[in-house]
Amino acid sequence: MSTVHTEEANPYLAHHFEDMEQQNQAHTLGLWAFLTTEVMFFGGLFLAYMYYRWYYLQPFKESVGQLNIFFGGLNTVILICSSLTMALGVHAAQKGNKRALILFLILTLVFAFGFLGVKSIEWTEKWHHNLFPVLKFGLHTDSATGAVHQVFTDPNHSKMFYILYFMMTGLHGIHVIIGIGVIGWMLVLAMKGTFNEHYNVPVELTGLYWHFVDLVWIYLFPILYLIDHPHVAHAAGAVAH
Amino acid sequence: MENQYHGHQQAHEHHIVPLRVYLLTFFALIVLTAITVWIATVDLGALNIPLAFVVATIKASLVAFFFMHIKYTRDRLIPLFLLASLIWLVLLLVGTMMDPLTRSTVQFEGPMQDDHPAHVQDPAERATENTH
Repeated sequence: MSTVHTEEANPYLAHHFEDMEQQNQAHTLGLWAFLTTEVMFFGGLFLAYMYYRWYYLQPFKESVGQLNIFFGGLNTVILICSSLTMALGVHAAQKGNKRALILFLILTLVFAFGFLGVKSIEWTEKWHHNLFPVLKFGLHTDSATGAVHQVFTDPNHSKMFYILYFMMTGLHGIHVIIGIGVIGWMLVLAMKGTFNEHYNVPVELTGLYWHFVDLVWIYLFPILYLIDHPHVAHAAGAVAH
Repeated sequence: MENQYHGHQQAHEHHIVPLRVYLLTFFALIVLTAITVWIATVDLGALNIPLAFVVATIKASLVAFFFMHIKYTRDRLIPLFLLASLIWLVLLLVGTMMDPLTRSTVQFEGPMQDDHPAHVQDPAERATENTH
C-alpha cells in the first residue's frame, strides 16, 4: 500500500481517486464537459435567431428598435464586474484568505442580483408596451383618442424576434438564478471555513460556470441589442416609443 | 510524494494567477464593451455585423483565457473540450445556414394576405437587400 500522504488523508478525497490533484483535474474537466453541453444549449437558440433573421430582416429590425441599449450595456458591464469579483474570489480562496473570499462572493451576488433587477425592469417595460409575444402584441393605444393600432408592419414576424428575445434572455436569466444559488452555497461553505489553500476547487468550478454565463451575455448583447438597432443617423423604420 | 503511483510528472495545477492579470482583463473588457456600443452607432454598412462579432470574440477570448484560466492550465484536455464545442457550433451554424443562404426566398411583403401574391426573390437580390 502507498504511504499515506497528508493530501491523501484529505477528507474531501473520494475513494476512486489517487490523490487530490487527480480529483481536481477530473472535476475541472467534468465542468468543462458540462460547459460544452451549455454551448449546445444556447447554440441552438442562436441558430434559430440567425435563421429567422435571415428570412425576416425588416420585421426584426423594427423589433430591435424597441430595445433599450442603455439597459443592455449596463447589464453587460454588471456581468463583467461580477466576473471580476468572482475571479478575485477564486484568487482569495487559493491564497486561503477567508475574509476576502467571503467579500468577493457577496459582491458577485450583488452584481448578479443587479443584473436580474435591470432585466426585470426591461421585461416589465416590454409587458406594458405590449411587446410580449401574446395576443396583444404590437398594439398601441393612443392616449388621447383611445384608438388602438398595430405599430409593426409585419407583426407576426416581429413577434418572432420577441419570442427569441425572451427565450434567449430568459434562458440566460435562469442560468443567472442558478448561478446565484451555487454562489450562495459557496458563500455558506466559505463562512463555515471549508476552503483554504489546499481545498478550493469548488470555488474555482463555480467561477468557471459564472464566467460562462458572462460569456453567453457577451454574445447576446450585440446580437439582440446592437446589430440591427437603428443608428443615431437614421431612425427610419424605428417605431416611436 | 511517496505514493508508488505518483512517479510521473503530473501537471501541478497550483498556479495562482496574479491579481494584475485579472484587473487588466477587466479593464480591457470594459473598454471593448464601450467600443462595441460605439461601433453600433456608426453606420459602417456591411462591416457592422462582422465587426461586432470580432469584438465579441475578443472579449470572449479574454474571459476564457484569463478568467477561466485556459492560458494557465497544463491539462490539454480542457482547451480541447472548448475547441470541440466551438467546432460543433460552427458546424451547426454553417451547416444549417448554407441552405437558406444559397437559394431563392419567398419574400412576403407586408402582413400575410390571401390575395397578396408572394414575391419570389433570387439570391442576388437577397444579398443586396441584407444591408442597412
